[in-house]
Amino acid sequence: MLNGVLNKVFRFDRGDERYELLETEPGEPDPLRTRAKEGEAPLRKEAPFPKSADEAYELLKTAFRTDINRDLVLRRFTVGGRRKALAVYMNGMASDEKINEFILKPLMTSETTETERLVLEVIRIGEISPSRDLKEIKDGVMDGLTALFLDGGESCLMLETHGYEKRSIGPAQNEQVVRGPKESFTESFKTNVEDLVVETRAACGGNNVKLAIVYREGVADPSLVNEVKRRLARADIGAVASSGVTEQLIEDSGLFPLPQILSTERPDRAASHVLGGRVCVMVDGSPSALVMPITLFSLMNSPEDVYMRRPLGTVLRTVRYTGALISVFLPGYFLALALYHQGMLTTEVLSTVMASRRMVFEPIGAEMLLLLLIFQMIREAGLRVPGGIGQAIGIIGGLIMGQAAVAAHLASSVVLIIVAASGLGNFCIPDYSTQIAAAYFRIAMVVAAWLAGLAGMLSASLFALMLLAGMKSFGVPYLSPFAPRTYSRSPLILRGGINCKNTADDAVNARREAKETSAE
Amino acid sequence: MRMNEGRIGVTGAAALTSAAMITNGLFALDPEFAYAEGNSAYIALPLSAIVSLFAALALFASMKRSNSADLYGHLETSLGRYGALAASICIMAAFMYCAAEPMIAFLRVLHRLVYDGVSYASILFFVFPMVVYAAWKGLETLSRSAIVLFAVMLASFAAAILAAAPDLEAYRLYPIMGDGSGHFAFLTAAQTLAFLPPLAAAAVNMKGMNGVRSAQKAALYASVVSAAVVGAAELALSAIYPYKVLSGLLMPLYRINFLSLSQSYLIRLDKLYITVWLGVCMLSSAYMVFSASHLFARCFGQKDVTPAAASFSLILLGILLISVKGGRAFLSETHRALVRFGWIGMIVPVAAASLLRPGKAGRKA
Repeated sequence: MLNGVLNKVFRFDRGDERYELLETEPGEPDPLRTRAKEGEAPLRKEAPFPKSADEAYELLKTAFRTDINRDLVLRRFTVGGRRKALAVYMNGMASDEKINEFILKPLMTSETTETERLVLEVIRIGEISPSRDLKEIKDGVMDGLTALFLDGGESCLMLETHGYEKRSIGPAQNEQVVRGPKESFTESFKTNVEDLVVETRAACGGNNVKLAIVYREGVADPSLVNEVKRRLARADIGAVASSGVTEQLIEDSGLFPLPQILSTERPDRAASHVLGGRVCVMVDGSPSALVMPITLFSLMNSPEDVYMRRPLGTVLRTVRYTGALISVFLPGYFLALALYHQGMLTTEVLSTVMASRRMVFEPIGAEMLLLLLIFQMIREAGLRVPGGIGQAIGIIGGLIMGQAAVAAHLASSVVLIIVAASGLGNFCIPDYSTQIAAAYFRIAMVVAAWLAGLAGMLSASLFALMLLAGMKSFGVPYLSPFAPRTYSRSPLILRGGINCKNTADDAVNARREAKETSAE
Repeated sequence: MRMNEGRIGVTGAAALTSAAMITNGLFALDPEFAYAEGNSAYIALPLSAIVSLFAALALFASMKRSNSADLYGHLETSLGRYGALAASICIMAAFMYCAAEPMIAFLRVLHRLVYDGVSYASILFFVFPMVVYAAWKGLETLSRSAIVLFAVMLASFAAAILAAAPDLEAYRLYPIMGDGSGHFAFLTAAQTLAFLPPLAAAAVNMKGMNGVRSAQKAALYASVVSAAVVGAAELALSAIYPYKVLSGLLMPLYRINFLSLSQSYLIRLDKLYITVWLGVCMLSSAYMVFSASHLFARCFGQKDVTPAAASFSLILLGILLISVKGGRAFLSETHRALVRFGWIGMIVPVAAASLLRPGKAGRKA
């Protein structure tokens, strides 16, 4: 065992085999350069419009990646048995009934093959529009229209066949917002985004659970997509039952307290990340999506930030970060001041602390740890017990027990207030896993402050900082875009304008065609 | 190969270099020597940073010509195998001086002013492991941590100087250039020992900094920022305390707010400031230890930097313990000599590497 540890620490001639994503780019911007030069990445060329149905078939097969995109239907048939045709639609987005009854059936039995007469006399669809633009055709198909290619036709006919099913959608339970969409993941991930690729596959192992890997082709870095697939393929334990298990199987470090993959139940949040070039994995039977790679700043953002106006969004974020800092540092800082650096407290504060602790029997450090533990217990109990009782436990635990503890001289009121403020700050963190990780850091700070005051806190903070600085999620540094700096400055504490977001997220090496607004 | 370099950008490299330069410039300053003959530190220190920058730029230009991957490669092509070894030993010694000197100053302040009478060993027990851990983690982690801490450090300097603003008096700057220009020039030259090693460290870690151009840029930004910060801090100090008072203070910057805000709550933030500065100092020491280890590994063809990092960390621990616990006359004499003449040991190999033309091997490359 000792040999193993020594080998791991001092391993000679063995490279670090971690997957690196940022390092495929030539460094990072220097401090005086904020935007990338235009045209740094080449734009894709559009193919010419196909002249025959067969040509269209081959073209669309490649464009839509039908080898992995199984929902696309490319239906070849002949009009009246004489003219070749191709109907293209997306399964689940277009209505099968409309296509069968009002397009395929009349066309196959039609006596005429002239395009104009087909439109006027045969096809029984309300809205028909011609199109030669391949991008427009792809958009339409993804949106539920059916594209009809006829041999020798100068344009394709876009037929209105919308017909996706709408199931009842429940509100998000853990990621609530005041403004913005309320629905959470309950249905399959269908969206009208250009180039969206949804690869479905069975998870490795014997339980036959289906996974969907969602990314935006042409925007997401292919090496990132391959890395996600590689890790999913490697996770062969036969126990992929939920997104939580999948997350643990493919994350970078199992011991690092903060999550390295974002688990979200909000489709808008997942979609905004996919738009920005990240990869999303959905597991059949789990009501949340996994987004990767992520950074600390992604975890601290709420989907609501972007729905608010810019100054309000910035204020919200500032409050949130302040809350998080208070949550992690306040108990330790107070303890350090009270135990080692009393000179930093005014006489009034010091005498108040002393007065409130007069009859409390345990040391202040133990008191702080005890109250933090009770706070975590109340929180856990509130989560686990059903419905209204959970709220009642919060009230009983928070108010009545706190009051009773002070009256019984088990805790002092000042320490109780510090723990309550820190708990409140903890709830400002939008991500549940990050909230729990913050609790670890908080406890570490309290122990360090108890042992060595501010110097102890400094050492603990530096250790935490170096853990964060050295961590990577799928090759992306955990503190980017701040450290290291990247061209795209979002997400950071100050929210940028919507117009400023028209750049691809180079932290994940996204391609520069990404022009849509990201909701971070 | 496990050299723990990774790849860092210009911002990270500049932040790391700058943090080390500011730490060495402000906290490793010997007040007895710096304020011996007047208040000239606020000019001499920034000037010294600029002189160091020019020396570093000459070195980088020479490295560009020899097309070397890092400093050791360049030393080898310019000075030959044994010359490179000798120069590397001098540079490693300078790195270790820069790792130890500010740490010693902080240990003394913590021992005397923050944790009243707590033993040095106890303080080191909490502070030193983080230096070792940072040095072991390597360049990427160091640079990213430096970006975060550097911003906090700048904010703390700005807050300290602004809080001291009501007490700044121009007459205390007298005598402006010191009592003689001789001491001013001597101080400027001597302080290159504080500023040049971090710049040379950029040359050592050039591969991780994406080549000579990025390292050059980082050195330029770092020197300008350091000169500005060190100059501003020293100017504020000189305008608060007369030089005769400053020469007797242990880490004068720690007392920047003592006079002006003695009755205010803000005075109580001094311990918070010193905690932040200590954090930057720990990072800077770790960077210097890592750079020394990296240079050592290159010198002796090692493929893993961690054993060297562990050894240099132990050496640093030894230096710290001997320095703070010593009290022997020869130690203080050695220290005095290092502060005054140590710069020669750094500038000579750098000048030789910059001025000597590459040998056959270098020209071929």
